[in-house]
Formats: sequence, structure tokens, C-alpha cells
Amino acid sequence: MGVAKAYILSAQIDEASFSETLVDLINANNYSVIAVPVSKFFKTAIAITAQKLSAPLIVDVIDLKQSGNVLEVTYNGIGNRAQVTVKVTDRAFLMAPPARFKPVEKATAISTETLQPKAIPSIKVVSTEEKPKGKVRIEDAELIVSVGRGFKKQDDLKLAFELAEVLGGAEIGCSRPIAADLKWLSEDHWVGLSGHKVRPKLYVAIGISGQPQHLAGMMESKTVVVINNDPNAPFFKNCDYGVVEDLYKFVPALTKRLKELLKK
Amino acid sequence: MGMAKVLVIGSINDTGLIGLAQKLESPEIHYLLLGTGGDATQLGKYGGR
Repeated sequence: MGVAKAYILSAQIDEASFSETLVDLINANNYSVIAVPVSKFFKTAIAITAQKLSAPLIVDVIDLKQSGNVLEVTYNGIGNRAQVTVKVTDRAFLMAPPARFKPVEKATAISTETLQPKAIPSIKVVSTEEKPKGKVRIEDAELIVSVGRGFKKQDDLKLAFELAEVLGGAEIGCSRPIAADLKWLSEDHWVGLSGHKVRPKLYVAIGISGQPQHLAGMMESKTVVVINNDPNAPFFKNCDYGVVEDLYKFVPALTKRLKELLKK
Repeated sequence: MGMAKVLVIGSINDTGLIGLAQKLESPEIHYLLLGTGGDATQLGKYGGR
């Protein structure tokens, strides 16, 4: 069987109200598996819901098998360094990027029902304003030029922006210190365990040492190029191409050469 | 668990998790469609396995 029914929740609500609404829906229908996409909203809302229902929340799921009453769930664990398989015998929340799976199509008519969000009496939404956001959606980017603490000042990031432009409009990523500590770039650019997980075709890391927390966010990149003046940077053990050189010399030269090549 | 009853949450343009639910043995899948865009009946194209 496939999709038999769709509930529609069109109201914009906060995480707590969504959780309340979801708990009622889950209890009314006795769902054993709840599959949730990855987003900041759901990370909060589903954590609240799973806690209320005393059910496990398994994140970054990559596969699912059922054997009778037992589910075998495989997910990227231990900072994305291992694929972990667990057995689940009761209700579970599974979180994963939707693009990882492709549904089988076979058309049938389905029923629909509009859901009314459940308000929490103790919380009243005073106002909702969309957060100002740039055009960055780094999770979907195919080309990423990522910057780290090897850059000495914010203005120097233009070297990476120029390279990104020559590469055909690559997105700019960054390591934790650039977004969280120095705030040279917004958190939209942050790649890592606590930032965004990316899987571009090309990931160019400039001046990033390659700590495990950063690697956890970009390990699924197809081709990784690392530019760093420290030959002992851990990133060199996790790349396809490594350049040991001062970024201030190498990046402008690379940009210039690419411009010449791409003109031809 | 037997026949799994699954709730998939998502938008009309991001329905990939139905594919995750379809990995189960004869699942009954309900979809919680969020947002104002899209026609929920479009989800009927995933009605079978």
C-alpha cells in the first residue's frame, strides 16, 4: 500500500503548537513510524514530540527494513563516520533528507482532511515575521567554495567569492569559527555537524583545518579540494586533491588561471 | 509491528520520504502536508507500491 490519506496543515505555527497538533494526530491514528524531513523547525518540533511520546528519534536515516515486528533502521552516526543499524520494536521518529529516497509511483485516489492547529493556552503568538534571508541554500549547492580561519580578515573572503564566481556561481560555505565566532558570514553558510550538511559535486576548502565536526557536514561531497599552508592539516587525509600553499598566493592564481581557461 | 502505519511529513514538492515509508512491508501511509502550496490529491500518484 502507498499513500492512503493526506492531512493538510496550512497554518504557520510555532514548534510547540505543531508538536501538540502532531501528538494528537499520532495518538488518534496510532502511527508506528513517523518520517520527518530535516530542517531546523523539525529538529526542535520533533524532538519535543518524541519526548512527549517517549519514542526514539533517529536522525540522518539512510535505510529501513522490516522483519515482522522489528524495524531495522540504518543511519549515519558517530559524526557521520559510521553507518549504524539499530533494531526498533516500537514507535519511532525517523528523520532524513527527502531527496535521499525516491517514491514508487502508482496512482490511486486518496482522501484528504484539513487539520486545525492545536493552540497551547499558555503560549500566545504575538507576531510572526519572516526572518531576513539571503539567497543561500547551501544544502542544494553542486559547487561550494568553503572558507575557514586561514583567512586573516573578513575583507579577504573576497578571494573566495571571486573564485566561486569564476566557477560559475558556486555557493560559499564556511567552518564554524567564521559563522559562529567571528560572524563574518551568516549561519546559512555554516557547514558542519552543527551547521548544514552538504553533498556537492565539488567542495573546495580554503584555509580550513578539517576538524571532525566540519568533515561531518561535507563528507558526502563527490570531489574535495583542500588548500591549506599547513601540511599537517587533518583535511589533507580526507580530500581528493590537496594543495599545500599559502591561500593568499594560490587562490588568486587559481582564479586567474580558471578565468583564462574558461574564456577559451 | 505487523503492517506499519506510517505518517510522512513534508511539503508537496518534497515527497521523497514516501520512498522511505515504502520500504516497509505493506505500509499504510498517511501524509501530513504542510504549507499552502500544492494540491494534496497529487499525492495519490504514490498510492501503490
